Amino acid sequence: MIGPGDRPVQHETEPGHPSQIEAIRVKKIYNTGTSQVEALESVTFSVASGDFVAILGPSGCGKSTLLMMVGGLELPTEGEIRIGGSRVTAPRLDTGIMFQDATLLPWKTVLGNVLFPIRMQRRPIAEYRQRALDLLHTVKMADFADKKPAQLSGGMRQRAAICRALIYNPSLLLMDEPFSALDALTRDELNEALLDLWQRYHKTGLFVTHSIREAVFLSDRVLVMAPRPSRIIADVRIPFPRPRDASVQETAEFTGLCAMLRAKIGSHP
Amino acid sequence: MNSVRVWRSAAIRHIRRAVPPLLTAASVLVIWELSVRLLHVREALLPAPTRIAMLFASAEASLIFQHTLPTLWQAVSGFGTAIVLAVLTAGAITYSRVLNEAIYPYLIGLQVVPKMALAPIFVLWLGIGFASRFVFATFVCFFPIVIALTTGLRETRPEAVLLARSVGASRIQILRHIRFPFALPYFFTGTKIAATMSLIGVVIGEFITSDKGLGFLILYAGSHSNTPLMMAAIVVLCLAGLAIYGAVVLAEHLTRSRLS
Repeated sequence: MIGPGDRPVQHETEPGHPSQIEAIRVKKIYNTGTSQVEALESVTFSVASGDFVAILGPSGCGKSTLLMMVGGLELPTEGEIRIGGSRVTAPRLDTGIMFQDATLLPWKTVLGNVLFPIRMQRRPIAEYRQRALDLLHTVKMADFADKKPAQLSGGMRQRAAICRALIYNPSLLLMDEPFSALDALTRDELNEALLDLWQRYHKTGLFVTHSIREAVFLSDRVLVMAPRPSRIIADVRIPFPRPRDASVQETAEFTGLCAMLRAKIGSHP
Repeated sequence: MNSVRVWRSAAIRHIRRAVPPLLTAASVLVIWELSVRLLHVREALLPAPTRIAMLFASAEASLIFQHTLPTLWQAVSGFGTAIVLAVLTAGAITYSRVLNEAIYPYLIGLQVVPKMALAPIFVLWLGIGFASRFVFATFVCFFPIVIALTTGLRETRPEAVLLARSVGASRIQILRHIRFPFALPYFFTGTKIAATMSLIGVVIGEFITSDKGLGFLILYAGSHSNTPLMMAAIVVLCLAGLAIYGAVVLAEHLTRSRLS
């Protein structure tokens, strides 16, 4: 059903590196001219291949900065980030990123937007067209392939952005609060769509959010971050089996995990 | 079948929208014609529309045509040169901080200079031939384009640049596929302003000193009290302006449809 690049789960992990992402004492300081702002104190964590990990924290805790560094869009001031054993110094082709805003190019159609990475990577567009249409079909956007972004709702734009991030079949998907600008109902819908794609394509995922429920619902692990100094204060495993559906949110265990995470965030104001 | 129907209804809508302005023009022309005839207005003061129209069928039509080509050619070549120079300048300003700091304030400052008043200086420096009017047209067209384009290149949404970088786009690709398309509406706004200014620049140059061109013809006809010829030359000047403007609108349309 899905196009040429989609062979059985294939990660570019070197032997001896069971973790796909490793962050080692990562520190980030921004120079604002007159003063220095410490965005990240010292962060160390790893993500196993095939895991979905949420980074949970209040705004201003440096979680987005951390994600941008994993994506190679920013460089750490100290420490290093490795993907599949090699140090990240620039954006990588085995990494896809979703931003807070869908960031669709307004002059392109939905299909043109989904194929945008292919064009930038100078791959043959024709070979990826069917894959793009299949991806759009999976997120129920097949009928909108020829529409312009201005004709879509916020939720539909993010659906298109998911397809764009997956079009070149990256093994690692980085998501920077991708649904935070959407209303609660659309957000739940998109979380389910994301989980569905997830279970289907087996990527490794790093998901930044400030929503506790979202983090617990989607992830295998939740890393809790606290601000000033920015660091990871807890690493919680989420035991729910996959495939999951929305009903897991009704269980007492789910509510308990949420309460526990809320307490952890609350203890580090 | 369906697409034909859609097309036809769009065409009908377009025609319907054209009706009110056409009616306005028709009434103005009728009132003009009637006033001139009924009030016996002297032809040297205000010729009737039909008199001006008849001129295009007379021997003087070729005279007008003869004087249209130099004006149009100077305006278009100046306009085209200005577009190229403005694109290069805007690109340089956007990518070099030093150039930006050194040049941009002057571009903004020169905006307030009434550039039409500088026409005599160009004649003084470059003579009374093609060169002075061509350079002057380039000069007046350059500013609106470069300022609009620079603004547009700065308006590019930073997230879009980040997205392009994240999928491995090079700097050139970012310029070509992100910054340039984001700047396009600004670019065409500036270009449309410049399109009309190119003709104004050339005609002013022709007013000052020239032996051909529509500006020359208007002055010549005026000095001979040949008001119908003067009016006819002005009509052709308006049509030339519309043609250049229309070409820009068409170029914008084609560029936009190519982007998607």
